[in-house]
Amino acid sequence: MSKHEQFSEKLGKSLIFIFASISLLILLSIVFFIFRDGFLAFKENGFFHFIFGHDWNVQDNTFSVLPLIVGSLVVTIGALLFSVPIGFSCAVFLAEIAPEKVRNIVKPAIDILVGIPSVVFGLLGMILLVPYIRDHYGGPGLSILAAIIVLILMILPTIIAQAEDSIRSVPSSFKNASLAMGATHLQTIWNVILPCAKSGLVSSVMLASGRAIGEAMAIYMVIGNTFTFPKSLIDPSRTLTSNIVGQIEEAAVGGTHLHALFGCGLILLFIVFILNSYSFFIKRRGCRSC
Amino acid sequence: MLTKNSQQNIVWSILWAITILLMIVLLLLIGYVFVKGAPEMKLSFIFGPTTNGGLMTPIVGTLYLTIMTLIFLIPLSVGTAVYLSEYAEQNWFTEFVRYSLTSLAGIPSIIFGLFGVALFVMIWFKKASIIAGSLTLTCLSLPFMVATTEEAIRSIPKAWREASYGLGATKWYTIIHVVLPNATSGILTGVIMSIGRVIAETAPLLATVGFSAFLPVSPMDGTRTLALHLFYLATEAPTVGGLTRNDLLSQAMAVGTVLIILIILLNFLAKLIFNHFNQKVRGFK
Repeated sequence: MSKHEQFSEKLGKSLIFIFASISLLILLSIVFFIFRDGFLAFKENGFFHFIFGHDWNVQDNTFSVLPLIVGSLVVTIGALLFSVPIGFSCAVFLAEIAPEKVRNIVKPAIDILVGIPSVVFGLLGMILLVPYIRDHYGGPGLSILAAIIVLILMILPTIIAQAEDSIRSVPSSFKNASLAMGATHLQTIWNVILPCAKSGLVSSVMLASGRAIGEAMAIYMVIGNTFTFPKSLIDPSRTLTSNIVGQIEEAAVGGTHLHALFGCGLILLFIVFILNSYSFFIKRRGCRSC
Repeated sequence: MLTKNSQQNIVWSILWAITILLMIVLLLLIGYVFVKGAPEMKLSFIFGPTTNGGLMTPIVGTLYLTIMTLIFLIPLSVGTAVYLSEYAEQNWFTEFVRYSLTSLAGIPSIIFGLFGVALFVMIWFKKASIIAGSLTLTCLSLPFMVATTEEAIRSIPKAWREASYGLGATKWYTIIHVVLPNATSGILTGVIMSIGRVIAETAPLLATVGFSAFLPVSPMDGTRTLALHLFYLATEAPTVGGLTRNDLLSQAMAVGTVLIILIILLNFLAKLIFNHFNQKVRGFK
């Protein structure tokens, strides 16, 4: 090795090392900031009061988030109730039944839909859904129902794309064996393919629920953002994310207000973490049984 | 009692109906944006100054922010991916870094917005600016970019590296001349996806990039992206004289049209690169 080569070797290695360290540093600082400021919110408001109370008063500096947690969960679960069955049906259709031509049109369309900015969905909700709900069901129109419908449309492409992948990854020998035993295609799908794709299907639901609970902008635009417990589907409400969206500019000076938003973020993170761990657990179990 | 076949036919028709109905609804929605946005699409609107309601600042701002983000993102993510796949020993620490990156990818983007406010806006730059926004987006895209790049690097056959070493090349020379060139399309795909995120994300930028309607010059200036502009048009009260709420909403639809067209173009580009890469790999086999 010449001197020059040795030099560039060392330079290259240290350069790579520096970049990797910066990435690691970014990672650690994100975790550090979220946990530090989140815990400060717990400390300043009292842990139990912050989580189980229901007041959010910027003037008095008292913050608690129970209505936000309820709002987030209601909206997410409501969206999943509809988008999971619809999404799985489409995935089965695309993976097993659809002719090649139909698939070649639908799949790219779904890929594009996944990438469409959430503000566009929010805008559509504002213009089409909110007035419709106001006129036909009463209330201000800005409501949980509007948020749920917008979310359904937003997470469907994600569920379909992921679920279709997992259905396609079931070995075709399983399917052929079942068909050879005289089962119909429908029986094969129901008794062989879907159970085998279970772990992938579950993680597609988890991914979608992560997207749903983390979605901020579209929900903020249609949910009305009132800090109350929702009593019916046409009531406005507020979620953990839309709360952050509405106040982040105002709170960008620091202090207890910003900490309280970080507290919301930390709770959000906790929920996402539980979802991820569950899907990780299912995935591992799925591997063992197959 | 239905026979097995008629049972199957019924389920098949239901599945056909659900999928077609869903696609029609989604296409109608996109079509609605186009139809509502099209009448606004005049050159004077697209290239007009934003202080008069045009799109000049959001377009320049989106471009500016994309370029700044890529300047930070590409070296960081490629460097980290090369480190993880070529230099790092495969031990618990490397696994830990990889695992943390994966979990970071699932964090809601609004949380990155909070982080950006706390670190970049409040501590580093003292104001919402393009540089604070692009650093926030870098953090947001980093996990995904590292994963894509590492995957591209790992798919390169080990034999190629060994052939390079066998010819007397050093490790660094091999990385520069064998590994990275062959991972280019994987990296490019990641870059395009990241550009898509810069264009589509709004939550992390709310308080980090400012919302100035003036053309940005230095990275310390505030600006707005197209998606942010859409959000302001849709949620804020009219500020420009003589405009009603409906005017602003139809302007927002026009911005939505531009956004959707951009996303479609990016998807198309990603597909082209992917196909190019696939052909190359097939060529070697």
